[in-house]
Amino acid sequence: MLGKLCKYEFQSVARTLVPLYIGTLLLALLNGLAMRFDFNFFTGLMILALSAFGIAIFVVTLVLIIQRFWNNLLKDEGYLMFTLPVSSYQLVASKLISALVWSILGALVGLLSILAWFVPLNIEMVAEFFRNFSDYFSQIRIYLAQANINVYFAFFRICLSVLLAMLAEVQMLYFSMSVGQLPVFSRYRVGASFITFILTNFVCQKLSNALMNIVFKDFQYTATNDIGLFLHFLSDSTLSYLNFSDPMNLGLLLLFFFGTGWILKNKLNLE
Amino acid sequence: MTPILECRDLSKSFGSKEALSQVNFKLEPGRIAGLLGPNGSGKTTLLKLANGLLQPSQGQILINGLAPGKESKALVSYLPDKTYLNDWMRIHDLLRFFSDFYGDFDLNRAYDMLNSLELNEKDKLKTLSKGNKEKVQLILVMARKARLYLLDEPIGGVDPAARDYILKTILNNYSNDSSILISTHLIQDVEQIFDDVVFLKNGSVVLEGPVDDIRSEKEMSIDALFREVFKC
Amino acid sequence: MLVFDAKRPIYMQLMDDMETKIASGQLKPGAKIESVRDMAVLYGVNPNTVQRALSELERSGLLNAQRTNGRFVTLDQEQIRDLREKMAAEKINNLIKHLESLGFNHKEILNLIEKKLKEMNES
Repeated sequence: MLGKLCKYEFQSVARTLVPLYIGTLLLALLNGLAMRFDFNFFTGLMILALSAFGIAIFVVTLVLIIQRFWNNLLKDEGYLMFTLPVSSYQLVASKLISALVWSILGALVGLLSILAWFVPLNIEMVAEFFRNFSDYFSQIRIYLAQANINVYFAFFRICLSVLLAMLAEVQMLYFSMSVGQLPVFSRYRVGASFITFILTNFVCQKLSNALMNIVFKDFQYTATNDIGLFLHFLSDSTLSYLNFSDPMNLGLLLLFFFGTGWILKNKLNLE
Repeated sequence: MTPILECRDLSKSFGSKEALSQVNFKLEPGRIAGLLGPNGSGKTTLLKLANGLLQPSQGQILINGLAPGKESKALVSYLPDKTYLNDWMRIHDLLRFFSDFYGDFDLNRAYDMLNSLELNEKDKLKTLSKGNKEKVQLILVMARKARLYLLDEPIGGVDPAARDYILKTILNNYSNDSSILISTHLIQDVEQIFDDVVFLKNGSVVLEGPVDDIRSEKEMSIDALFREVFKC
Repeated sequence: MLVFDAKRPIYMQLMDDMETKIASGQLKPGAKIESVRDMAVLYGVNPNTVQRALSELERSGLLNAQRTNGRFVTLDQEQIRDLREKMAAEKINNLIKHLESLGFNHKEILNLIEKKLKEMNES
């Protein structure tokens, strides 16, 4: 059942995002073409347009995440969704999974559109660029390894943390919306959701700061001119922070997931 | 035999307003019942409770002995009194959606009904007139072989010919182990298909029972009785 | 779909309709009756109502139920004849009462009927 819900979620969102993705990639290709000629006003405009598209992907994805939850579950369509033979937790999970997937896809398209920039360029130039890039990359990697930093691991770890933080934030959005639809707020649904979101974020921030003060109480920084040492310190402290924030985000994610599901199961108030 | 729908001392309040109060009744399998009452009498609230869209304040509502939840929703086919479907979807998308989620959805039946009502499966919902949208919603609900059909004003917004068709469809869906509860105020048109009726006034049951018994006892039609009971 | 008089029990009205069909020969002796569901859809009434009407007719002997094959009109010609006559008698009774209330006596009533029948035969 969850799979089916996800399927329909993807289809609904794809209608809007896929054309946007295609548009962005095409524009990137055009940009690449324009770059073969001298920079001029037209090229500058193209770059601006591409950036606009890139930002649009981000904004539209966020808007869709909110809209899909609000319109599909908490307005008239809710009559359809909440009478399906599925649990409210499955409904929330399908939205979350969809949000995750489309966010990742959006980022990938962003990346691809930068790469697409290079496609129209002449193959030799591209090959040379990549050769140079991999040289630089290897140098950086070796240098960082000396400071005990594995580039691949670091990249992977950071991506994971970003995703987790994002998911927690999205789940907080969902939670706020489900609080906003409670019968007590019947006339101020949107306002109540908004305020709940701000309050929730505020409270979580305060709690997280308080916790950090406890966990990192004994943390010390010794100034140094040695870049190697500095990098070492940077990686250690980042890792410590992530080791703290990841479980916290996971905890928040679970807390708000079950909170949202519970509210929708027991206090649903469709107009 | 377990009643398909049972309300036990069912009450529902919204803040200080009591929408339903101590409602008790049973709907046995194989019966077609009318849930009758003026606007605001609690009919829609009752139907929403049966669907798990609302939780009781007190008392219980049971579908085939189950509290409303995942399992009961698979048994219930609900037609709300509003358009609740995604406007951008085409009719055949909706058919596939229902067929995907409900094991008891009969796709062939749905297509037959679409043909009879002269609707094109390729049409997008938003291009349809209100009457046609309601017909689509009805088809989706009636193409299921559910145990309990809850219809909220199924014949309200359609023309008389479509009304006849809808009533015939309801009768065609009849089976010994499924029941239909119709909430309506167009009583004259439908009273001859009811087995039982329940009159709701201000959230309470004021009259209920088999239709023929009521007719012989009061010596009037249900429609006439309604006018009397709910005189303004 | 027939519209029934909602003041009287519908199953009785269904029975009347079926009796008329049997008495007139529209439904021949031994003919098979539609299923409960089909009849419900045809008449636009509740299947349980149809069931009740048919059960009553079975009890009176006008219909026979054969376990899996369905219901059939009786083959008893005499019973059908009796039914016809009973229905006719009822109508005649009503007619006579009605004409009496208009002030006609029995001799006048008989004359009126004969005159009318003659008219109908000539046209």
